[in-house]
Amino acid sequence: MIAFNSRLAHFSTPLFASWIAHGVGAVVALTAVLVWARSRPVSVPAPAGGRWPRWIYLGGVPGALTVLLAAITVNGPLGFSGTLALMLAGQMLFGVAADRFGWLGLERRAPTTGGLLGLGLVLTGSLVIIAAAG
Amino acid sequence: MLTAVLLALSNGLCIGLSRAVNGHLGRRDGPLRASLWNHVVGFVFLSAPMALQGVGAFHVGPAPWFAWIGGVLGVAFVALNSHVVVRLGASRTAGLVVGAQMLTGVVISNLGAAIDGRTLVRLAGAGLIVAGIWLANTPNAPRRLRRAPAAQAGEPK
Repeated sequence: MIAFNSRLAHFSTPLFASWIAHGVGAVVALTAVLVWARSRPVSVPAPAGGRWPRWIYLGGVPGALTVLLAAITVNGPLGFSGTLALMLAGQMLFGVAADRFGWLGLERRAPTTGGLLGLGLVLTGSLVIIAAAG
Repeated sequence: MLTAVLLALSNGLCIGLSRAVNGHLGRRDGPLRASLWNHVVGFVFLSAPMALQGVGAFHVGPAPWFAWIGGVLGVAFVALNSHVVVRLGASRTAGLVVGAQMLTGVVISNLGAAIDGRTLVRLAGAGLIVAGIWLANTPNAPRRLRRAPAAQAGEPK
């Protein structure tokens, strides 16, 4: 996915590539919803607070920035592996924090020794790959 | 280089953020609808800077056909993420998803390339990442590692 989008960015701009990826994705997702998910799932009760917040529809904004940033860095000095490595690190750091504090409607989960050790190994491995990319 | 590193790191934050938000929506409307909203909102959001750039924004070189269909994979990616994140939590989901991505990345980087020292270093890095993901996703992994290997023989995996 990232390779495809970055390839398009290589021949145009990161912005154009991300825009096309989301446009194509919107059409494909609409088709998928019409074919496989015509009816909504059984209604889930809203989380504590009683009402679903408005921001649940805004996941596409950071998502759009993701494609943009990836396209920039993949075609830069980090290359494909280096970009992925740092994206992994950032995601895991965010993940630990989001679980720990129960951000964005996630269930609260305290970080475990194994989880944090794993994070350290992942960061180390990421740095090794970036070093190999030069 | 530092700028690129910071951009890539904040990219990771954006992914985590997007995943958690879409997971929340997916809990109510299902993963496919979450994926639809994600792409529609992203498309509208990016249309503004595209419009500001004018005609020049639409200039494309001779890109291969597959470069145009990243969005198809993106739909599946967002739907799967939305389904999983509310079940496994943000950090385990992140580890599993990107672990697979990293391995793919190492494979793509080495497609058609001769195996040299650099390849081996990349593979070592991939190995560390796999080990880290195993640790993060195995309950009591540190305790298991401390146990004598002999005690593990015959144990079901």
